[in-house]
Amino acid sequence: MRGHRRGQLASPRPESHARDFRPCPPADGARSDGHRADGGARLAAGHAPAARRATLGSVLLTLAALGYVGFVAAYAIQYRDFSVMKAIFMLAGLLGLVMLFIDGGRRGHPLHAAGSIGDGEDGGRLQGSRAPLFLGPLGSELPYAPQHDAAVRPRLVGEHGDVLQLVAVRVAEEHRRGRHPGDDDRPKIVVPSRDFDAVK
Amino acid sequence: MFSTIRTLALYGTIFVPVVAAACWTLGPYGSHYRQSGSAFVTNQPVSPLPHLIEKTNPTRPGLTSVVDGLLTFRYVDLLRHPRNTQGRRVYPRHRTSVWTQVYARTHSIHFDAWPPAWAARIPSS
Repeated sequence: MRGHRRGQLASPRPESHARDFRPCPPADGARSDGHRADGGARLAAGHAPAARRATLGSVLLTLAALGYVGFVAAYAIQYRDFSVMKAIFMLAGLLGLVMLFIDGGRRGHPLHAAGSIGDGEDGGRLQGSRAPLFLGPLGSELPYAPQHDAAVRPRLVGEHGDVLQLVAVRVAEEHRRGRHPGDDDRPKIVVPSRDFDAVK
Repeated sequence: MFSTIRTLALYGTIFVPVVAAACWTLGPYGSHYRQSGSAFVTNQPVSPLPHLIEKTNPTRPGLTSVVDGLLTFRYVDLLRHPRNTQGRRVYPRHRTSVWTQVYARTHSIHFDAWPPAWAARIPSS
């Protein structure tokens, strides 16, 4: 599905991974050539595209985040006391701030700059570069999973844990003489324990 | 794009009045407005507005001017004095920077509530 197979991981030309990188096809029937496999039946049935839903959601989250950041600034201007400059006032907009942080990291990725990430015509999960300009970072769609980011730099070094490795596993020898601690809690001098009896 | 904007406008027209009405009735804003004439009143007196560039000190200096408070990030001073103080006259420079205060309070719970053993013998300026 992803175009990454074990043979490609061991390829001597690791730069080919960047070319092979494709966004994950959506699970709702859309194909990578921009046409829907189900003939748009879901659209005809009234289902909105996933990209539009995500864009509206990201707009709401971004407005919430910017609103709380603006509230902290306005609150500080109004009262001017250092005790009003608290991050807890932005806690309600935390999800939007996290979304902007992730989106900024995705846009700084070299694959995004090269255009390998961001083709939104197939409705895939890695769209964003063709979002309307006025939306800025709002046109992205989450989540941006770790496997989307494992294409270039980590695999130049290794195989990024995609191939099983042989590791030594040592099982400690079990000492079967021990019993439950409650069995040996008697004073050995006054009342000899079973171990003491066994030694005798 | 136009359909997206129209959808945004439609949802915004529904969302904003519903949320505003809910906050007004379920939150304290409505009762505050009826009692004191302001929906955002608190038990702390409002300071006079700061100047854009000229610094003026409020009672406990926080934001001294708009530029100094909102357009600065005093990271080096935060490294030198990694704790907040309550003084009215002697205080670290990062105490007048809004985003430095927000950043420090986010990343360390001890920035505000530091143990007395952390207090410097020489007051920081």
